[in-house]
Amino acid sequence: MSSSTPIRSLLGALLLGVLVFGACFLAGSRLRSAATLRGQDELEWLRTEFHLSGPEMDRIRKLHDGYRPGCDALCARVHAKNRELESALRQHGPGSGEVERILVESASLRVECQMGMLRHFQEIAGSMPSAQGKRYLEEMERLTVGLHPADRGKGVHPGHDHP
Amino acid sequence: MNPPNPLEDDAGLRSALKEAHPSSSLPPRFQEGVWSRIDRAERQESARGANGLESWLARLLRPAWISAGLAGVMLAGVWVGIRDGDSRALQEGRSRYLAVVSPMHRPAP
Repeated sequence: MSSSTPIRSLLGALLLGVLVFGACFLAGSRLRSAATLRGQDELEWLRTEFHLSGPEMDRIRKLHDGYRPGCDALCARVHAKNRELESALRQHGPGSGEVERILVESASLRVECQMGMLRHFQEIAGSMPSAQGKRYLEEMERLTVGLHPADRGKGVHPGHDHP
Repeated sequence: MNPPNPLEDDAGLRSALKEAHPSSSLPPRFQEGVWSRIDRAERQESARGANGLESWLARLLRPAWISAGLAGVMLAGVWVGIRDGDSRALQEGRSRYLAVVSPMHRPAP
């Protein structure tokens, strides 16, 4: 009975330590991320991630501001088309001609959107030092059109059948 | 002058001692007694070991050590939390950028 008391105290101290660690971890993580993101504009990630200088950021900001209105308009069209598709699916069912027409328009919109994005990414990458630009382009292509960096440059090899 | 030794003068006692033959036989339950003493000694040794652990734990659980340990745990927790917060902020910043440049990543209004 007497020897179990210090062991119980030790276990209690360990439990307290785990709880204190968890509380400090959560508080540190939340406060830090909130403080970092507070007042940040949408281009701050580029500056941090790609270590860009002031003049590089100025060039990028100009390109970004020129791209935004067209992107916003496309965004509104994408959402409108999605709503249209949702309504057609409810009214006519998935096999209807109306749904097919909207899907084709939606795909065409997606192509237009992706082409615009890829051109913009190319311009932004050109405003960065070459290594960072290459990394930015790979990251954006991976995130937006699902192109993996390992797939780049592979192309279609002659003599191979691709289904 | 030294007092006279009563043993030197006691002839009867001397002769009794000369005639006495010390018995060579062991007392009853002698072996059992020896084993019992060995067993008791071992138990005491083990109890001393347990007492050593207890006293070590008692030293470790002194308020000064507990306070120092808690301070260390707090610092470690905050430091790891800050690193995690930086990583989360970077991910959140990337999501914000992506939502602005890619209409397909933007949440519906």
